[in-house]
Amino acid sequence: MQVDWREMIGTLKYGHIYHLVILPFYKEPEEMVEAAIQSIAASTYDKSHIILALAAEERAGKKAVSIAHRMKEKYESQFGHITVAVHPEHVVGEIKGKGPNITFAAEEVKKNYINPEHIPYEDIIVSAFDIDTVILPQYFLCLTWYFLTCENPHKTSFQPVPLYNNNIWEATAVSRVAAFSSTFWQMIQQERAEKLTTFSSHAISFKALNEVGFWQKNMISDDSRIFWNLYLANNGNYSTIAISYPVSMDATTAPTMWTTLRNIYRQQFRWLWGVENVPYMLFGFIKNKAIPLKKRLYHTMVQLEGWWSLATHPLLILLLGWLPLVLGGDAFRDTVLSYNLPYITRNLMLAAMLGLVLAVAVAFSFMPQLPLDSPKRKRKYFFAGVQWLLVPFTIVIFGAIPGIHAQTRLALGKYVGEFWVTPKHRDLKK
Amino acid sequence: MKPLSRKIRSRVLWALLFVFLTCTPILIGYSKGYRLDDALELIQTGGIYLHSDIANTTVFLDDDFLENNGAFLKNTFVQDLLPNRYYAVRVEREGYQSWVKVLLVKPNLVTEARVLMLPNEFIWRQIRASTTLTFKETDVVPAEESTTTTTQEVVNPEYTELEEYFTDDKEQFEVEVATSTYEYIRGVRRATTSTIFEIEFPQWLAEFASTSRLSEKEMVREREGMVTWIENGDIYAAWGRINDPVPYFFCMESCADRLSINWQEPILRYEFYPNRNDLLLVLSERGLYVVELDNRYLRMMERW
Repeated sequence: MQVDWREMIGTLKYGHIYHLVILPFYKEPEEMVEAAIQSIAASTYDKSHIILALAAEERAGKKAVSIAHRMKEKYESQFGHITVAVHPEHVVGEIKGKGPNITFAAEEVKKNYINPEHIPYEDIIVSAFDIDTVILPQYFLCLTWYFLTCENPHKTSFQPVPLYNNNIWEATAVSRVAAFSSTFWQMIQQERAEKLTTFSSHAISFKALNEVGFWQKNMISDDSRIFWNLYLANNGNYSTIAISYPVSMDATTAPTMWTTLRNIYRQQFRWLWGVENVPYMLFGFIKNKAIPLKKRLYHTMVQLEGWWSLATHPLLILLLGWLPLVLGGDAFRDTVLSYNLPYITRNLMLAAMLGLVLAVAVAFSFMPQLPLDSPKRKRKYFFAGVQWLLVPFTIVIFGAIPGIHAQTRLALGKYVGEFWVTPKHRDLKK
Repeated sequence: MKPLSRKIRSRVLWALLFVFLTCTPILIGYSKGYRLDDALELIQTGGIYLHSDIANTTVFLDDDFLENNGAFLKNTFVQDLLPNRYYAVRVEREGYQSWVKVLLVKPNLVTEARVLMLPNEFIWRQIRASTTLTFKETDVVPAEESTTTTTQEVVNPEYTELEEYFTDDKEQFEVEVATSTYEYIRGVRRATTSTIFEIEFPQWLAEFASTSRLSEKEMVREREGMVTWIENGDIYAAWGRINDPVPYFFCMESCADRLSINWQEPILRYEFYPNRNDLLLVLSERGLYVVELDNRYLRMMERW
């Protein structure tokens, strides 16, 4: 965050690069849509080279469409172009979800602005944001630098780190832990970019997207599926670059605790439904012999191990210290090992807790500071630290269980036909 | 910011893999009781686990102080003990009789025992069957006063409970069975109903009862799977839950089918010690005894 990206990019020629930012929304309030646009408007990139696509849903009703038009009217002068794309309802072959909406928006911009203006596709970087995505002022400079300096920008996706801290002080402890767990996972993935696929708020070259027909319209996990679409289309010559730069999003909150917990579970389930990419990837690997066998095997192992471990490891860690005592039988119960096992497991867990201490420190550094006159300030900070004791429960309830749920549903052919939009609750007056 | 280079990550991976491969066998070996002896040879040690209901005890192993137990952590686990040898465990607490047990430790196994600590002096308390309450009612009438006294007998529930526990003429598995006998007097059938007692074992105990001919034994008792009876004047104990593991004190070198307590004098009565299935209260002409079923040396047999 200490890098001055204006200075970094100063040595490069980047005036020809356009940013197409797609903001899909459903029934979110006008203030939230405006907050996302304002953060883009506040960016230090040349706004005449920023194209905004406000992707509203017809099924969300007239209110959503009118919000889009009001926003266009209000901010049109600040950007190179704003397109309002109202994705029609009941299109055959499409699911109700984000994928068809952002694809429709990209096609509308292409038809109504990019093609008429003769903007070269290879000069456009597309950012597929969520409506709660808030960027820092130098985000587009950073993204452009990576785009221009990477070896093959049209065969590369760019992934920022999603921080769920827009409303972090309004969120419950469980919600905060779940949010930071997702952030930490993305941070880990950023350090091993060879395994990285695209996730929320990714960016891709317009040229690459256009070649594969943009995002799939019949998939829930459009964010990650687009990576595999491009990987297979480019015969394995495609990768994701970790740009190690944050974008802020909302932690899951709701008016009541029960609704919050239910929403967290449903959001995690939707993310973990990304396992639907595994059969697509495997089928693609079987069909596409142009991808080197080594790469196919590598990604197969990484994906299978990843999905298996996220669903099973929390449960194994939780139970492994105790399960042998229950299942071990009489012969085992009398052994020195059976008496030592709880102690050894406890000590290993305590050692692992050191990692948790580090996580607490990192999480605090990501959280916006509370004003000095904020009511119950000390208490809030105290609970923001203590909340991490919930991790053993949250990784099981909001990690392993939705993981097993998603994988079992997929195995039984009970496909999810509708993208569940996480309800957003944020105090937008602040 | 660039991610860590593959070179650095590879080094970290190999370093952590080395730590894992080195530590895991050590950790597993340690957990399974492997230690180096004085001659630096690898041996598999054993352990002792003492279950205790008594707080604030002091535990000695072969007369060496081992640990003090507090109010909450009453049990004792000691490991790293050389295998195939006996250890004398002594548990003490002021005001209580010391409990001593000599236990054989086997490699890779934990030998269990349950502490019995009885107070040095028993405080005898008379439990009355009932209490008589007296009520006085005084009627005050002008120029005349009369007092009426009434009494009420209140049964002591503690006595009732104990009475049921120590009822002399009722066996644990006896059930009342009503039988009818018929006789014809001048051609008229007359039925006479009488009540007799029969031994009836619960379903889960039936197989054990059948194989060990329990119905032929005297004073059969059962608590939490432990079955005891009197045979030729001695007390016998066996494990009645044939599908469940046999309690640890049945197994020394090998597991025994039954344990016996030789008794020199006639047993008038016996019952399980409250809340324990490894202790008996035995009443004979010489007094009341508390006896451990665990017959590993020293078997506690205290007389009051």
